Parts: sequence; structure tokens; C-alpha cells
Amino acid sequence: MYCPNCGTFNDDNNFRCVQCGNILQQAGPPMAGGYGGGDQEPAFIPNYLVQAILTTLFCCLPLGIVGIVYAAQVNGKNGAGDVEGAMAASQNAKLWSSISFGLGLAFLVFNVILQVAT
Amino acid sequence: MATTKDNHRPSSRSLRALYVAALVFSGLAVAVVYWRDPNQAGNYPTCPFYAVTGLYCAGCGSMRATHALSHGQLWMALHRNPLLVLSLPFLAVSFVAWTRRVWFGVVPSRRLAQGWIYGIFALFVAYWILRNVPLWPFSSLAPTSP
Repeated sequence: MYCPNCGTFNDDNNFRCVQCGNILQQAGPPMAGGYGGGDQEPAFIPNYLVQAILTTLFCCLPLGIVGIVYAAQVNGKNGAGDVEGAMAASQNAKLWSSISFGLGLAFLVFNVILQVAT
Repeated sequence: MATTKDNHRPSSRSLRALYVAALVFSGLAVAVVYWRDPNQAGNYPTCPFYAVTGLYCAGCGSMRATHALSHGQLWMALHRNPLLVLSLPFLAVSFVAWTRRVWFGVVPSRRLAQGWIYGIFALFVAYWILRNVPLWPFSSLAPTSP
């Protein structure tokens, strides 16, 4: 597309004009979840730190600890402008906390069934 | 551009459903632990990490601490799992932020710096190791401390 401000040709996916910095994507639909498209602040990327801490404290497995490390990476990379890296770390943080939560829950359910059966 | 790829972000509606589900789940869990005493042997399964290794994990004593807290015994909860009690203010602040985000769309403007989260990581690892040391200052971290 062409920048409506200065007329420079830009890639369709560009958020700002490469020449003058004019915002090109303003007309787009609002993002899901009510997140504002702030253009100076880094985007909000969940780091799942609370989930990691809770699964460490309640699921009795070392897996939640891994989630804490990924949570640190999310905030670090997001703050440094590495959005792709922060999102990858976010996915990993979510994954490890989910595995920890799932295994903890499965262990509990398994034991309840065992107790009821015997 | 990255902002178009964030499909891992749940929609507002599923976020709200998750919020309600998490609250109901937590409420039920606390209610069960309130009524069914975890100090009584046989009421709950033993921590799998402890059962396999014979060592305490960072979560050992969490159920007993929750039981104590739900009965208003803060001091007892500190003996069962001090890190859980220490985490409560942080969890409370995070809960408020989460509520604001899910129901009012308020995106937190300040995030924890990476170094602070690595600090939390170090704290958890140190706690996990030290509460297994059977010497005085550390033995008070164990879930069996009087």
C-alpha cells in the first residue's frame, strides 16, 4: 500500500510507514480481548508467572520452575523489543505450567479413583 | 508483522470463562481442604515427588498450609509452607491485575523486570534445596517443623 501521508510504497503488513513513520494500520479491527494497540509501549504478552508459581506450590513437580524461567524470558525479550522471541517464550511458559497442572490433577484423580475402588 | 500472529491470545469471552472456571475450581479446592483435614494421614495422597525421592519439594505442606489459612491460623501456615504464605501478597496483586485485565480490559502498564523473575526463580530453587537440609535455620523451612 502507499502511505497516505507521504506517498511512499510500503509492505501491506507494515504498521508504520518506512519513510515518515505515519501509522498505516489504524483502520484495522480492534484486537480481541480489549488490548489497545499502543504504539510506544510493548504489547502485552502473558508470561504465565502466576501459573508457574501456583503449579510449583501445588503440583509438587519441578516443571513449574521451568515455567518461571520462561516467564522471565517473556518480560526480558518483550522489554527489549523482541516480540517474536517473547511470544515463543510465552508459549513455552504456558506449556510447562499446563503440563505441571495436568500431571498434578491426573495424579490426584488417579489416587481418588484408587481410594474409591479399594 | 508479529501483531497479526498472536492467535495464542484467547478471545475475551474464553478469557472470562477461564476466569470463572479458575475461581470455581480454586473455591472448591479450598472448601475441600477446609473440611477434609490434610494433617490426618490417608485423607490425601502423598506428594509424588516426596514419595519417589524422599525429599521435600517446594510445594510440600501447601495443602496443610491452605488448611491452616482457611481456619485463620497464619502462624501454623508459616510452619507448613513459608514460601506459600510469602507468595500470597504477590498472588493477591496479580489477581487484582488479572481481574482488571479480564473484566475491564486494563492492560498492565508496568511489568516485572526480567531480573526480578530470575530472582523469584532463584528463591524457589534455593527454598526447594534448603528445606531438605536437616540443620536448624533450614529445618524450620521443612513442612514438618513444629
